[in-house]
Amino acid sequence: MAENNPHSVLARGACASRGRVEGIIHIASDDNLGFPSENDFILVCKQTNPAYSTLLMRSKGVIAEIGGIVSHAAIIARELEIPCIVGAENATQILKEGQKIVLDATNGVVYG
Amino acid sequence: MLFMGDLDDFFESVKKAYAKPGGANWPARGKQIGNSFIAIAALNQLRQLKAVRKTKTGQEIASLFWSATQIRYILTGEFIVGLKISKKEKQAPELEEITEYTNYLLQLLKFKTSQDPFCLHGLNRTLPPEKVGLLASSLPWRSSDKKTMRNAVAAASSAAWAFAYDAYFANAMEIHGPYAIQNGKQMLVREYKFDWVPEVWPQAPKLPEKLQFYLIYDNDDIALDWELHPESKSGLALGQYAASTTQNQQQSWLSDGELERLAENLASFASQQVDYVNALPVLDKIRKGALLVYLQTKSLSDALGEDWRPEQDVEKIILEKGEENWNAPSRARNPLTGAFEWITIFDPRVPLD
Repeated sequence: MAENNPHSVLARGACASRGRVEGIIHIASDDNLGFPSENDFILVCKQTNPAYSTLLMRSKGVIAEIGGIVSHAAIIARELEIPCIVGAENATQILKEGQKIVLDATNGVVYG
Repeated sequence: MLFMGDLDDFFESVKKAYAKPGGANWPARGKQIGNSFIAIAALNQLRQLKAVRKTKTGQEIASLFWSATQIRYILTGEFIVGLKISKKEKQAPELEEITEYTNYLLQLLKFKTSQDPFCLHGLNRTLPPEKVGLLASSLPWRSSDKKTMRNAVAAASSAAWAFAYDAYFANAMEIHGPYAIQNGKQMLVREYKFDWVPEVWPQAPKLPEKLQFYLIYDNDDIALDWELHPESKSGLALGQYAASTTQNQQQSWLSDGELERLAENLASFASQQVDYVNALPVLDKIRKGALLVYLQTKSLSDALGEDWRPEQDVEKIILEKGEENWNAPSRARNPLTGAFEWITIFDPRVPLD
């Protein structure tokens, strides 16, 4: 399993909402939220705001580059009971649209 | 009468809540109208409190605030800081008076929630125990579509932020609890108030005047802090829920289908509102922000029979600074890490540098 391979750590961040999930990456920005045809993607973004609500409601995990445990992404992810890490530096550059990953938010690690 | 112990508890709670890393980033806060308006707003709040105190009891004044959180937010929003800034600009009042009225607001807070008014022990309980028991036994509880309920919470919270900027806890949102239910479960109640939205945002779609979400969690360790972030070591785990909207004082309990449509609509409204605000000229964002601050204590104005509104002062400030000099960059609330900074800001006895 990829998550057991220490060489496949793609990104790290702080745990904002516990849990572990496997899924396909969707990268969104303020200028281009994009709405994947499939639900249950893992949202990757710099940070979220209320405009991301629909996207967050459809996602099954969140990786945000900016923000802390009381940022919008973190608060909403906890309410949605989906895993979330914040402060994942350069995640929108490192991770690619459609990439399959494992988000281990409890330990703050993204595996490829 | 001053209660220094309350001030200490207040600082302790604020320090705990604000020390958490945040990063609020949208939208440009209306209060960026600058120090001048924060001072005007705070001076107006002080004047209102002094006036209303002459004719009403503490209990009656507390009832003019729609939630406990509204009082908390006013304290850490503009009241203390604004009055200190006004002091710096030589507009009075003395630190002693700021201290007295900070304490007075803390005493009003106790009328709203007496058990743990400063959330030091993770509580914001505003319902009496007998009411909690009644709700637990009488509400139309369901557990059939927890994802839709969770979506509705996320969408409503985002809408509150989108329409009330980061004053949402004062104007639009309250979380109270946790209330012990049975078998180690706890209930949180989330209330959202949007009846003021048409006054500030006439272009907005029609929102429910009020939403009430009753949520029973399979957790026994939920804690709320001064800023009402619910936390549980194991993560929140929704068990049962009941949701209602209120329109024209008529409360309606929602089916799962109705709840789903509500969540979709609120998420859509929040998104539209972000786009609308982002497209506003800077000065209009500021004007809206000042209006949101004004609404925080409009109930005091109403009780006093006043018709003061902020528009005139706002336009004066804009003109004084010069329209071309206004710039409202998106401002993240950078967390201050040291206790010293927080005490400097929120201790009414300590002047700002």
